[in-house]
Amino acid sequence: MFKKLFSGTLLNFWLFIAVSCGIILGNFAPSFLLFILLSLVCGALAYFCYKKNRFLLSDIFTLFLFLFLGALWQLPLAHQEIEQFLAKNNLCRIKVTSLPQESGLNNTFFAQVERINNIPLRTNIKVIDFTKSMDYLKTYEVEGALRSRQYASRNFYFLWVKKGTLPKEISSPIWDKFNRKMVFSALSIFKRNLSDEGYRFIASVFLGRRELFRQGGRVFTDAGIAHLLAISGSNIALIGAVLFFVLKIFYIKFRPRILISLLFVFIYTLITGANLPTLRAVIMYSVFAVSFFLKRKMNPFNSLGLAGLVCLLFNPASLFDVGFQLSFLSVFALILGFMLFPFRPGRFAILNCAGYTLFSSLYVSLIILPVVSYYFGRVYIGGILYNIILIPFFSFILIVNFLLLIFSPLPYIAQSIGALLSLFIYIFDILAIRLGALRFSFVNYTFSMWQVVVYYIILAGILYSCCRSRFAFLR
Amino acid sequence: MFSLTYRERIVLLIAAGIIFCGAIVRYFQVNTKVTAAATFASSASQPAATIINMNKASQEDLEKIPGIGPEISRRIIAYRDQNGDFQTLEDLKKVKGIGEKKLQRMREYITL
Repeated sequence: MFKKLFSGTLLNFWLFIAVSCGIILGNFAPSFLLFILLSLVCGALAYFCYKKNRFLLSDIFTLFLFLFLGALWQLPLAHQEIEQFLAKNNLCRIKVTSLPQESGLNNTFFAQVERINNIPLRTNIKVIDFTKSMDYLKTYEVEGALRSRQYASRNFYFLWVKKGTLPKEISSPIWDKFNRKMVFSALSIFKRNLSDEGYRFIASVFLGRRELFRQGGRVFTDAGIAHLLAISGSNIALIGAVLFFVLKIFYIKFRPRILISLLFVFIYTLITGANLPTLRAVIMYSVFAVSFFLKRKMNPFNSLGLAGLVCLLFNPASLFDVGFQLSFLSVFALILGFMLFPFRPGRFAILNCAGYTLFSSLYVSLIILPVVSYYFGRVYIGGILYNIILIPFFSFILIVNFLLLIFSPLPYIAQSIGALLSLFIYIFDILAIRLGALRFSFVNYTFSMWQVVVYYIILAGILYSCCRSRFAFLR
Repeated sequence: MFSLTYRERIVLLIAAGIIFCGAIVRYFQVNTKVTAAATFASSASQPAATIINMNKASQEDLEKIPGIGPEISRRIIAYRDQNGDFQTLEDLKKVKGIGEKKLQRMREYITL
């Protein structure tokens, strides 16, 4: 079983697909007894088919078993809708997940709801706090009114915390206290050494504190490069790679380097809030690191499937989260693209590399286009080209930022690096503004659900007919 | 399809069994909490203790209403002193700083 993570078969990938389908089924057809019965039947059939040496049928029933298990796993959450708590006072247990921003008479911040009236419910909300007493990464029990607002076919939820009420602080685990300390230390280093704009930018892209960069972020959204502001797999990969090579300078051996970089990446993920794209990237990086450690061949589809399974086991409702969908779809598109259209350096390596990056950007954009359009109501055209210009520049900014953190105990060196980093951020911002202002950077259009389905069917058909022989890896 | 060995199938079946048992336990756990919380929910939704009488509230009480700060509460009291009690909730819009949006937000916390 463990070897299958690293072999050519796609067990984890197909299990992930099966569980995802099960979660969708469980959300729309919540029937507890039916799914229990179907799970038992599929499990028994899988076993009996194996005994009769019908291995293909046994595998198919195993997939169906996991499909119905996914439905069962989703069922408790399928029953609980936040809508039942709207427009009345509730006792909510919330964990503050962003830095509170002062806005007149109240503070606003994002929080994760853990319970409403003692009913477990995992969802993210925006809190309007008139008590102005709640702080980052602390858990509170508060009384307030829940409201919702619809925007672009999605519901956003708000909690109004009244002024007269006193939020009751619940003691935080030791990890959250450590997390707060690390985040505030990093923020103070950035604030000391960078310009105001640079501080907000780096706080957003390196620590995930997007609330500090709200106004500036719109420029990147218009240019179709808002994904650069989010902490995602590219951050994890870059940090892991930079640390790996920095440790090499200190003559640390190969295997300890992998372990240290892995440990650092884990800590970084937890400090930045362990959002779904980051969690996905960390699990894939872990599989990659372990495969290096054990000197085994790794299958990227399997590691993607394993990452998906772990995320869904923690919270099956995350399947419906736009960050989860875009993150997994992008990585799936990248892996599929590398397999179908492998890179061949050729004679002019740099030109070929640039051309291949543009091509990768094109087919990833093609694959995520309907989902982006469905959620955000825009089709980004310019982003295909802007990525090739801005991603290498952005990676350079992250590396310099990393150096700033390493040299932060040495004030003069840190200030010099900070000044350089502020300049790069300023140039990056100007580039994003200029590119976003170009005509046809994006077109306003919203795909309907049926259009999304038809689009993917047509795309799958085109890819399969063009590259039939290269799909052998799916068997 | 997956070329699994016998041992690997057993491991997969055990993993499925653990998820199966966990899902059932989770389902009953959540449902029990839902039932126990039902009575709590009905008592927690009583807004009576937090409704503020706009004609009788002190400045301190007025400041408890979302959207009302020290300045607006002073203006409300000044309006009451000059013009008498509010007759309808719409009269609150005559106080500088209270518009339609603010009034909508305040409605569930106030009475006359």
